[in-house]
Amino acid sequence: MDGLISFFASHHAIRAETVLKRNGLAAHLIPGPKDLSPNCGVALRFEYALRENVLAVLTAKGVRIDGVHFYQPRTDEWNVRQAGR
Amino acid sequence: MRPLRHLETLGVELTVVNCNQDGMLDLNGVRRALRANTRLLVTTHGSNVVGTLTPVEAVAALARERDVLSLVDAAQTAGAIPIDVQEMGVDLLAFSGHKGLLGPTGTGGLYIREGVALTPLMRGGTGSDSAHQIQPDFLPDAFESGTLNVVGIAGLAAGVRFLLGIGIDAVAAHDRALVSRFLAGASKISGITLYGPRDAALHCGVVSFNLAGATPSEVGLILDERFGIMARTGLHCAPSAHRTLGTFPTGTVRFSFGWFNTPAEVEKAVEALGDIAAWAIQGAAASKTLSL
Repeated sequence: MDGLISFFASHHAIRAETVLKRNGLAAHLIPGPKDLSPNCGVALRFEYALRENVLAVLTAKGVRIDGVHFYQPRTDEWNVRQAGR
Repeated sequence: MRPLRHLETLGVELTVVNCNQDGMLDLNGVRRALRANTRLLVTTHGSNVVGTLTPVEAVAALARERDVLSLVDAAQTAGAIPIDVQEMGVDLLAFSGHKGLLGPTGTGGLYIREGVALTPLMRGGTGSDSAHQIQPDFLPDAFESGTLNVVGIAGLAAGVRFLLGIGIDAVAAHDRALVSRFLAGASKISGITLYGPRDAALHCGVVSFNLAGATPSEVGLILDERFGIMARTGLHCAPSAHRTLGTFPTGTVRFSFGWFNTPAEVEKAVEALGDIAAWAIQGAAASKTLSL
């Protein structure tokens, strides 16, 4: 997943994960990277290519967001490491 | 700090005494900060950021000497470090139920020494003194209006009974041994910075650290997703503590050890940190980010 949404409050982050999954959209909560999201402890990863769809769902459900980012964190290297094990 | 900062807006004057870089409180600093109009001395018992313990008996003694009330926040220590409010000599002691006391979230309590005059935050029915429309002034009814969270409190009581069966001394020794093992193992990792005292006897079960070349949230994410280890990253709702440590605004990674943790888990955590530190120091590829 190469997209990230930051939020003002954890409430909205958790709500976003719930409504996206209910709509068949992949979503995953992570500790908010400080450089992108100083406001709140958690941020949400999603598929950047699906951002229009994702944002439409969040808007329709009244989930308030802080910002949308393209995000390929270097910590994803650990997924490759894991797969190679 | 938020309630204290709020009181400040209501006209209460606040003097903040900083700890040293290890989170140790200097009693002389407290003594110097006491003013003619000081009414209350508030301290944490154990830091939620680095785990440093405050010498609360000495602080309470100083407060008594100056005719000032003392309030201890024991959120990090209740259930993990022996507490005897009378021996401590404190006037007020607040605790949360969901940490060391193993209770449900949303539970907690405030010890009020008999004789301390305090205004209730809430007033209402108490099931006592029902013929009167004035809030009772006796303990605990003065502060227990309305329907209490009985289910939560029953859960808290179960946690307390469990702990008393083990003995708080035994819990404290267990936590101290884990902290000691962690500090010994982690201090050998190249690129790690450990915050707080190196002596486990000065700690509750909380330790804080950073790895060179990685942010706390990166370390927390890898620990969680690749090693199944939970940590709390960032500022821990304590910006001034992080300013004192020199870790503001980046924060730290925090582990909290408790009765259900084992030495083997601590070893596994140290090993995981070694792996992550090596990855961070090698200079992992840069993250790609772009904000809309």
